[in-house]
Amino acid sequence: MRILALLLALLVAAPAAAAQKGDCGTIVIPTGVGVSSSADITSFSPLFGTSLYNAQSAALLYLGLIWLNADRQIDWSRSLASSITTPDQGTTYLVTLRPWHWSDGVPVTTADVTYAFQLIQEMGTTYPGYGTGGMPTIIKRLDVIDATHFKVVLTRQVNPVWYIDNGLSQLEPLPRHSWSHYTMDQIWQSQSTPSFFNVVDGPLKIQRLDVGLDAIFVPNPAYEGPKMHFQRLVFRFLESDGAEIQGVESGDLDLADLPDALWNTAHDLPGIYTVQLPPSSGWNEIQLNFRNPQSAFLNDVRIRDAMQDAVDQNQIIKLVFHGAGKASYADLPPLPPDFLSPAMRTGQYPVGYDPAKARALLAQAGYTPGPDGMMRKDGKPLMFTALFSTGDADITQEVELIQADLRKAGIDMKVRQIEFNQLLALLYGPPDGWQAAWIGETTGAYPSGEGSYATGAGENSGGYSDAEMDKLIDASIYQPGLNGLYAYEDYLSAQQPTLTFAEADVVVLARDRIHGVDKFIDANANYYPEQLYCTEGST
Amino acid sequence: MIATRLASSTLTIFILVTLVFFMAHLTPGGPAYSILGMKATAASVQQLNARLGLDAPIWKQYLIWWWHLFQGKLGYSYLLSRPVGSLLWQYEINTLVFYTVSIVLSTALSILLGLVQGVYFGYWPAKLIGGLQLAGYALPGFFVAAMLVLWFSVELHWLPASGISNLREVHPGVGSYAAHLVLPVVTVTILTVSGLSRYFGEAVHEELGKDYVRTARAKGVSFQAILFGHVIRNALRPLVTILGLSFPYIFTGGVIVESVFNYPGLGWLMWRSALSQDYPILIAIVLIIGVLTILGNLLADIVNGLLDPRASYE
Repeated sequence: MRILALLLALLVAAPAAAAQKGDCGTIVIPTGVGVSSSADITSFSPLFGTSLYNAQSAALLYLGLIWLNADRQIDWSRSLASSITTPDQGTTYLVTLRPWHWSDGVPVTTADVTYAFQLIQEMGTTYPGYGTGGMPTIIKRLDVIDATHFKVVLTRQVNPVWYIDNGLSQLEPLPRHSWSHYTMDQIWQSQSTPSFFNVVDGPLKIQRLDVGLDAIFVPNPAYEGPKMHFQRLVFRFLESDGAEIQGVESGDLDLADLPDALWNTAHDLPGIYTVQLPPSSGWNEIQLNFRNPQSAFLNDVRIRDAMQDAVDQNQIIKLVFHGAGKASYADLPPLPPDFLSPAMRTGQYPVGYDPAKARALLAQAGYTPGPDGMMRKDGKPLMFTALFSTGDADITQEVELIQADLRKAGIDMKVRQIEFNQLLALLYGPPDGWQAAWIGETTGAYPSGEGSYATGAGENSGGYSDAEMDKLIDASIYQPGLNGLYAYEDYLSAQQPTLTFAEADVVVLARDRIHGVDKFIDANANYYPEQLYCTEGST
Repeated sequence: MIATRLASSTLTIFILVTLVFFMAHLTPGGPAYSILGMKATAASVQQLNARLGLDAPIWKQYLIWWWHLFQGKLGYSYLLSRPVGSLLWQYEINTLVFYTVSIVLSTALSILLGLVQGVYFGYWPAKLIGGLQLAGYALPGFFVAAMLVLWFSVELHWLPASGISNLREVHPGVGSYAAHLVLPVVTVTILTVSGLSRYFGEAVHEELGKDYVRTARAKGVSFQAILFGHVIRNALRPLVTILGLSFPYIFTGGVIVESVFNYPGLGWLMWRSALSQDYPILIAIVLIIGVLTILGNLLADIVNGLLDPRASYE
């Protein structure tokens, strides 16, 4: 009996022991895993994080004032601020820093916050977050109260949720005692030099960057947060999705994104399992150029709604994304219910796949089908050219399906592939340089549209302008509560200033030895390195 | 003669660099868009261009570039935030090792296969080699590379799929670097030997049909002595010319193979610089290619002169 009990105990203990968080030694993963195709890390500076990969790297080295989780809630355990209050409901913000230290033992203080703000001001419009959350122009002054308390006074009263999520979150303390003797030019030129970033307060430190090849991070020994379960975390830059798959199959990589094109073959690979991540906070859209005289028809909201109604996004999700994706009917990321308007919460949108409604809208706008079935008005065909950048098979397939659906409704969308750089240059070039462009988009944590849809906004490359939209954006920013946001969202979906389409859920391939992948990456493309661990005894 | 040749070569390089400089700068877009990405706005692009000196007139940027070159500076990479010289050197070492091994191996194998093909011309060994040459020549480089990775890395786990060393090792040894070189070298060798061995085989066959060989045989000289003492030496001349033209590849690499294997060589760097419009790197590499092509030709002519003293450079 005793022997039986002992054997039973051993049987139960074995899996429990196996599930304990063992050290992984070196973990090797592609950059952008769980979010996007791999690309270079070219900067570790939070100031110059213009690319996703650079921003992710910087977030591993430096903690932000606040950390927003996938539910758009502040995770205080990962934030340098321990409290934020606004005694006057939106003009003044009192911030308290928690006790925290840089990796060289120097305390993180309000001097580091003011230093970061000075650098942001000095960068001007080249600061990646310029304009988001009003940064930096909405800040009237930043007053230091003591080493752990400071006060931000804005030029006017704003919605605190908007400002904290989009604006205050950018005030990331930087090591003043280590950087202040460098000029901005020197900081710029050192942004990819690991030794420049030897003073950090985040979970990791950068050990080495092999430009164009890999970046090696090691745990910050002075980090006061959760312990890491690895000795080194290596981010590899890989040229293609195929290289990622081959890497994980051959054992060179521990994780890789599963491209939709290889969906069927990759689910039964030996020694590898799949993890489906929640929908990311990005989406795909076709931006429309309202400045181009040849696209004057786009100013008619009936045409825009008709285009959105003509496309069967669920079919795209089924055919291209193998069922793993979510349709999008407004220029918004997947949001927690609190951030969605009541109508959107129940799945009600003014647009959605309805080809009959699309044709009816076109008829209302004065279009009739020609002999070839394509819509015409005053002898002119309903036709435009959409640009999209090269290199992604999923995008190509999705665009082709959209094109086919639009043709069924009588809308002739021609497509042209160009390099991404040239696409961006055209977006901000002469008005007649483009009509429509396929872009992957994200938004701030609080999805107000002041950067994209307000008249004259910096990222409003298509020149969209609507007085009601401006009014609702202002309401979402300046009025308390979320009703202003809800009204903006509903109007946005009705107006369709851009055409939005489904984004695939990301599926990650992971080698059997590595665990915690589902918690390692969140929908906001944040990495939580402490979540990765290996089976004890594996290497 | 050499002075004239050097002068015309210098003019060629000047024209080449000028063309590439203006073509790169006049292409729509610019490095500011690569740097700013989706955060690019008209204002931020303008400000960044001013910081990078790209708001100056093109002719002025051109003159500044030459001025810096005469001072020994190749510029600063806009995207990688490193001096171009140090970047090129870092990638250059990788390419030098990779392609030197590949060219040496390719040359040795080409001579061996070409010799057999030339000697046994019309017989089954030559036909077999000819068939393999045709197959190797017809296969695209990326296909060969992908197949090798599929078999030897993914299926058999014998060799790594990409990179230059085992990143799981804190201090990878020579063995790790060597293992990562095998598949890329084999790929380049297959592709190179296919063409090179055929040239050499044809040259050997042609030499074997010449009068001096017939005369030597009639005089009783052994076939081996004729082959190794005379035929190979004469048949090597076209091979040397081709190798001279290939000389730049030892230093500049190739885009396709380096991309498939994620091998950080100069070819890969050039490709990525072109895509992201990182002008300083792109123009510096073009300059290097131009100089090396000319040097390679010169070297080939000198070696041919050594092989055949009848060749004259006057």
